[in-house]
Order: sequence, then structure tokens, then C-alpha cells
Amino acid sequence: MSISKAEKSYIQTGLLSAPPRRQDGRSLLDFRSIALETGVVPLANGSARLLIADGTEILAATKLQVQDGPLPQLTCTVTCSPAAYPHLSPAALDDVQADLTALLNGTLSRHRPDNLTILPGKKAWALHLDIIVLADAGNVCDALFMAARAALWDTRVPRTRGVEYKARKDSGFDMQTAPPDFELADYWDDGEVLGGRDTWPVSITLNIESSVHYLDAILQEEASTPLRLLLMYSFPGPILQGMRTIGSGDLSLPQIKALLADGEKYALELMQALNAKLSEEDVRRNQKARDRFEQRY
Amino acid sequence: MAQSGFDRRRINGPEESFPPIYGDDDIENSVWKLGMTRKGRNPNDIRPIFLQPGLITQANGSAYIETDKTKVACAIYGPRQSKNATYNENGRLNVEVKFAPYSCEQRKAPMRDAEDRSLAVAIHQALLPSVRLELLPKSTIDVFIVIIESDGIEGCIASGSVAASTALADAGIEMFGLAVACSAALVGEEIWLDPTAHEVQASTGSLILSTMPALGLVTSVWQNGQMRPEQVLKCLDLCQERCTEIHSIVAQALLDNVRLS
Repeated sequence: MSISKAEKSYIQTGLLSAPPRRQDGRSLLDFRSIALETGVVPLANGSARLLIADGTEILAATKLQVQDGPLPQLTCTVTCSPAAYPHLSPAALDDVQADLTALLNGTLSRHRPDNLTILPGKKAWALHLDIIVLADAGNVCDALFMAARAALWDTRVPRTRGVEYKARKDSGFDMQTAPPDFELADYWDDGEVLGGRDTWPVSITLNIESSVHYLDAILQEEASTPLRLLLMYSFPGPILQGMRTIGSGDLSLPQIKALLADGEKYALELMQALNAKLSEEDVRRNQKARDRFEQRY
Repeated sequence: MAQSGFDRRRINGPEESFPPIYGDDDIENSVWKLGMTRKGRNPNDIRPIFLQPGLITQANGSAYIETDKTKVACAIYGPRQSKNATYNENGRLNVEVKFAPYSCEQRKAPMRDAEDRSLAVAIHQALLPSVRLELLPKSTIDVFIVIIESDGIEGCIASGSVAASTALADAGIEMFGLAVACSAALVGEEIWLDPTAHEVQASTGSLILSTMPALGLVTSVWQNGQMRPEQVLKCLDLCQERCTEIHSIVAQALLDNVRLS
């Protein structure tokens, strides 16, 4: 998005004035309201839809597929709807998609949930995370990671058990091998949650405008800010899982150190809020749905 | 697999092929275990750098860099008129990275893939704050980087940034300062600077810091993997220290080149 010099300067002056003024009346560290719903894609193993203030909209879904061989890596794919970026040419849109995919893959693919093995060394669930950006009204990175985290949190791994056909005891054969095949333990059961589902990182984007930084920029603000610092944190720890600078501005090392500490604080708050919402979603979809079903007459 | 990277205008190899596995290489790598000290150099040592500006004569500026097994050539064309008709007040920095097909253990199909793009983005970010694009309206600077031999993505990004910045200076394009980069990897609890591909594989996290040492400014931080905040801070400090040294190498190489011609 390109904006005029006058608008750029207006936004920058607003951010730097005391008290800071932003277009929608938020303070520098306020997020817009975020709506999140899990379990929106019936055919996926886990899914989530995230909406930031009726603007940025993201749909994330995970799919598990049986694969031969040892435990494969998690693969993430980000697709941007052309409707979200009407001003971009198809080639430029491909580049945006590739960049977001590389960012998400680089951060998430190192995680190996511990319960994706079906038959050790032989068969495993390959976990695919596909995300669609339906609309972009700023801060798409933070939204991506939140949606990814929600979808992975929501993912259920089907329960399986090994199957083997043994010769009768008295036949003389000794069958002590591992089971060669598997079956689903229960077709109707959703399964168990992914291992380590609270260790997925959240991303926090610090938009840096000379001496101040602010969170959750809208498109106009993104266009007028020279530098963004992306931080991916996971808790407990905290552990930094990724860091990027984007833009033409520069920083000094002491500034980066201060921003890292600040970012950690914001990331923790975001993570706690997200966890609270996700647990609430779990209750809504299980406990409350069951209660409603019982009281239907 | 057959379809991705398939170009019917080329002579394509067999559908499936595997790189040879050399016996002694395997033994060498399997001897190293987590917790052992670094092989061949100290944790804070970087590989020796060979840097030669002005190797490609037809380009406006060029540089060739070699750090042990990483070999990168960079050519600058421009500033020249932007092809697209829209007016742009600032110049555009266009970075393209290409892996030679023989650059890695596994052959790289000679087509653009996602890895080229992510390297180009990283190098673009490392250079962008240093180049005075506001002086070049309506123009484009093309930066073409060819990776002749690769020893890990981290090394390629760091060496590529150094080569590109040297080439930009060689082309006489105005910059605020020379941008140089240094990489680090966290292996166990130790921080190893300028890691090789094997060392990055053994690490839990890696970081690339690009700075303009003359101004004391950071142009890019690129971190992957898992690190505790205090480890990140330590990495940043160590990398910055080395960047100052790399900066003097670049400055010396440029000076020598000017004196020779």
C-alpha cells in the first residue's frame, strides 16, 4: 500500500506527539480486538479462524496424513487470497506468499510433536498446516502465528493401535516383530491433542518509529513506518524462536536489546490472552456442546 | 518430485538420483558429539576471508568472496532506469540470488525456488538501510549474486551481504556505510561464530547480524531456531565484534583494488 507524503507525515507526527495519537484512538501498545474461533473446518484435524477488528482475516487448518518412514517435519503453507492484496500483481503476490511461508516454516518446522508416530520407524502422521490470508488490514504476521497456534492447539491426532496377524502358538514360529500395520482405535473419537501444544510460539511485531515503538499497526501505519522488528517467543522459558528486521530503518545494538526485553513482555501477555481464549473454546466445543445436546428436549 | 524443477527445454537427468556418500566424511562427522569442543578452530573464530572487488569486468561493480568452502560472486548493474512506468521517488534495490547447480551436496535444479527467494530477502534487508536510495529516483540497482559453492545458508547470507556491499562500493553507489554480516550458531551452551553447514545442523539456533560498523548501526537481525534471550544478546555482541574486523578487511580490499587500477 502506498500513501501520500502528507498522510505519512501526519501519521508519524501523531505517533511521536505526547500523548501519542493514532488514527483509531488506540494507545501505542493497544491491540485491536481479536476474534478467534476454533473447529471451523469440518474436514480438517484442527482449524481456526482469526479476525482482527473486522480487518485482517485468517483461516488456518491442519491435516494429518499417514506417511511411510520416520517422523516427517511439519510443513506450513501460506496462501494469500488475491482479494486481500488487490494492488499486487500475481508475481508480487507469489513473493508475499513465499516470504510468509518461509517465515512460518522456519519458525515452526523445528518443533516435533511427540505423539505423531504410528509405528516407530515405519509409519507416522505427516502434519500439514495450511493458512489462507483472506483479508489484510495490517499486522498479518502476528495474526498468522496466532491462527497457526490456534489450529495446532485444536488439532486432534486419531488414536491408533498396531495390528499383526500371528501364527498360532503351537505352529513353531516365533513372532516377536513389531506390528506391521495399524488400525484406528475408534472411528468416532476425535483423538488426543498434539503433544506440547502450549509450546508453539507467538509472534509480536514491534513497529519502530524513531524513538517509539508501537504494536498492531494498521495498513496506513505500516506504510509510514520505516522499520519493523518481528519477534517470535515461546513460553515457558522464554525462548526466542525467531527474529527478523524488515524495512529500511536502522537500529543500534542497545536499542535492539531494549526492544527484545519489551517484546518478551508483550509476547507473554499475548500468549496468556490467547491461551485463555483457546481453553474457553475447548470448553465451548466440548462441555457446553454436550450440555446443550442433553437439554435439547 | 519429477514435476517440480522440471524444464522441458533442458536435458533433464533421471527422475530420481542420489548424491554419493563418501565414507571418510561420515566418520569425521560421526566422531563429533554434542558437548565436545569445536573442531578446527576456536568458538569465536571465523573462517579466513578472501575478498576481491572488480572481478566481473562488464558489471558496474562486482566482488568475489571466499570463506573456506563458501564461494560467492556478486555483480552490480545500475543505477539504471526502472523498467516499470510508475514514478518512484526512491530508487529500488533488486537482489537476486542464484545457486549454481553444483553448489551443494545435492544438485540444485537450475530453476528459481523458495530458498533463492528467502536468501535474496535476507541479503536485501542487510543492504537496504545502507544504500542511499533517496538519491536515485526512478532508478533500479540490480544485485546479482551467484553462489558457486555453499556451506550452509547462514554462511551464504553473511558472505553474500559482504560481497554485495563491497560490490556496491566498487560500483561507486552512495552508501551511508559498508554493511557487513556475521553469523553465529548455538551449539549446546556454546556460541560458535561463522558456522559451517554441519555445525548449523548440530545447533539449536542460529543468528545473522548485519551492521554498518562505521556508524555503529544494525541493518538486519535474522534469527532462527531456539535461543534464550540472554544467549541472543551474547550472540549479538560477539557478532558485532567480528563485524568490525570484517569491515576492516572489506575496506582494505577496496583500497587495494583502487591502488592497483
